[in-house]
Amino acid sequence: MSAAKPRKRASGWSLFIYVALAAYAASAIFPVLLVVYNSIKSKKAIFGQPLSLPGPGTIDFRGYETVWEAANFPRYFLNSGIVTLGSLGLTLLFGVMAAYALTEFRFRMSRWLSLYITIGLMVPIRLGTVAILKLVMALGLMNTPTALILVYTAMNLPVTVLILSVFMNTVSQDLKNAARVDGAGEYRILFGHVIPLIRPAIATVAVFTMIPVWNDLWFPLILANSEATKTVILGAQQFVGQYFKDWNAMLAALTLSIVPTLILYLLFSRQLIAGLTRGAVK
Amino acid sequence: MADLTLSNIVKNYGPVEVLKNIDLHVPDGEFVVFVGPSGCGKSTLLRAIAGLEDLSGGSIKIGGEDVADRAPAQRGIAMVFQTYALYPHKSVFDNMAYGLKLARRPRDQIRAEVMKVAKILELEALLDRKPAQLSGGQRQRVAIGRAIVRDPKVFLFDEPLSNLDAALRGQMRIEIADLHARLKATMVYVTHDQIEAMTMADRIVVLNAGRIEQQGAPLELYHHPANLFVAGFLGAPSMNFVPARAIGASAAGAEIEVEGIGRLTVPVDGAPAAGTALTLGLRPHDFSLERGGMDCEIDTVLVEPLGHETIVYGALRDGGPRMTIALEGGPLLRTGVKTRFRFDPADCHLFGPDGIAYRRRKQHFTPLASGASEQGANP
Ligand SMILES: Nc1ncnc2c1ncn2[C@@H]1O[C@H](COP(=O)(O)OP(=O)(O)OP(=O)(O)O)[C@@H](O)[C@H]1O
Ligand SMILES: [Mg+2]
Repeated sequence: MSAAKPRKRASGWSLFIYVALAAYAASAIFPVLLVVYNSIKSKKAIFGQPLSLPGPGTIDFRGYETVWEAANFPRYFLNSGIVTLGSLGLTLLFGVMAAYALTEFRFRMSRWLSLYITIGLMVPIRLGTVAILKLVMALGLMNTPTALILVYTAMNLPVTVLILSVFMNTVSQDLKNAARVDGAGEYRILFGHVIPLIRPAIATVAVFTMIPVWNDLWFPLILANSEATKTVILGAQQFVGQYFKDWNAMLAALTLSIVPTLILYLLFSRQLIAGLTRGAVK
Repeated sequence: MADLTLSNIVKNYGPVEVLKNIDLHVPDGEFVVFVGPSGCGKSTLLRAIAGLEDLSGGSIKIGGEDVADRAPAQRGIAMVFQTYALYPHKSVFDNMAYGLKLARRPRDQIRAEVMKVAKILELEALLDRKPAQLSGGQRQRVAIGRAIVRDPKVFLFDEPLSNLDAALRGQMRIEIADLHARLKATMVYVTHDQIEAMTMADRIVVLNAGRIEQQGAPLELYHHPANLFVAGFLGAPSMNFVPARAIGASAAGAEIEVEGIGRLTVPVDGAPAAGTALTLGLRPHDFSLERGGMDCEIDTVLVEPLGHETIVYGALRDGGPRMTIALEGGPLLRTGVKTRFRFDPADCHLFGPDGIAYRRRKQHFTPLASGASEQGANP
């Protein structure tokens, strides 16, 4: 009897949660869907009935043709890939090592170092654009993927270190000590014992650092806007000139740029969900 | 095989002193048990010996060699952890072989070593399993096996059995004791469990707040605790403490007056001056209904019949100190009534105002060589 009541209330509550989440998901997906299905509509239809689905009269693949012919799109994709994977690799490598050092070792400046990294979380890196621009020019790295990789690595390190620290703290101290007694060095303990145990966290961090990098317009525009180093997102902007806007091509380019992120999500989703829920419970 | 010498070990976490000037010598082949309340520094001391914790001061010698600057793997120790700490993604075989692999020993030698140990611990059938596929007892056996494979000079155990259920704990206790007899290795063992401490140890070291309170053979500590802390810590149920006052001394010992009991003479050395505030200690098991020259009246509050013995909880006179009494067998006692219990003054412990015990005269056990039972001569 008394057990039935809370269950009823719980189901009402969970109904509410589902409705709220569904509404949120719909509002998040809607603009994306809008971009995707408008990309296969004629220009007139895009402006005339932007919300209606493509039909027999309005379907038009001209945008994709333009993208395919006009621009250096394979090149842009490659650039985006290099920049994203490069900064992801460096972010994870340094993030993992910094998080391990900060959680595992007590050294003189460790508290201050943690604080310094946390501050990096609070200050948007775009505030430092001018200084970054000057630095990149001084280093002679203008219009190179290296510049972008370095900037994105710096941008993502704080949040990476923070998330990974939380997860590394959950790895049993006894386990690390057992490995030390067996003669494993710190690098071996980190890469051989700790990282396999926090794979979900690493997948989470990977997805969350990768997507903003892939989608970024700001730094490619400022640091690497030459034809040879443009990224997909920057490349798509060429269809939006001051006097001429090719919405078909623009939407087609954006749709294409979503694909890699989507593939990535599907690949990582299991680990990602494990990582998110564990973070939420602990 | 080797002895272990700790000299003046100090460990601070920031301003907190966790270990304060620990001196200890463990002879070759001895089984030493560290006991003490939670947070007293047992694990910290063990980790310090293993080299997993930097010392703030002092030195550690294993087999006469100073190991302060050596990594854990170079110290000739092996450690078994409370949480087993098996490598979750390695098989049982690889768990046990890991240390030897890292030491770059030849493959067939590793195999031979692991198989030998697996045979001793009856793990042969489990070698291909992952730790997650083992029961708690099996995991702990693998952890012990991993330690043996390293062929250490000193074994370190940090509460290895506390995650097991009571039956398994009893069984593993015997296995570890057997292992010690077989390997004749020096072993340092941390536990919360009185029975483990009393039965396994050649020597018990009682720690409290980062200091050694007393060390000695289990029965020596039980019958001659050096101070109130050790007296209260060892033995279950723990010793009853009753305030007392010295009124004089005679050849027979210290004459004291205890409210609720009366005057009695406790046979101890170095009797206190008249008027000194003392503490009388009485073990629950030293009471009976018939035997003993003294008696006292207890308001019983709760009676727990356990079959082989009966535990009585109560208070000495109205609102007096709480008392616990353990009687043999199952005498019929009722709660809520005053009952007289008898005891022998020779069984009493007496502590000075500083908590230090006066040496008792009663000899409670004689060396095994004489063939006498450990309980020794009752008068
Ligand atoms: N990393 C640390 N930083 C600060 N204080 C610590 C740290 N590790 C342990 N301590 C403190 O050191 C003291 C001793 O800890 P330790 O783990 O050695 O206790 P213990 O005797 O093993 O206790 P238990 O029986 O509960 O295992 C405790 O008071 C603990 O709070
Ligand atoms: Mg401990």
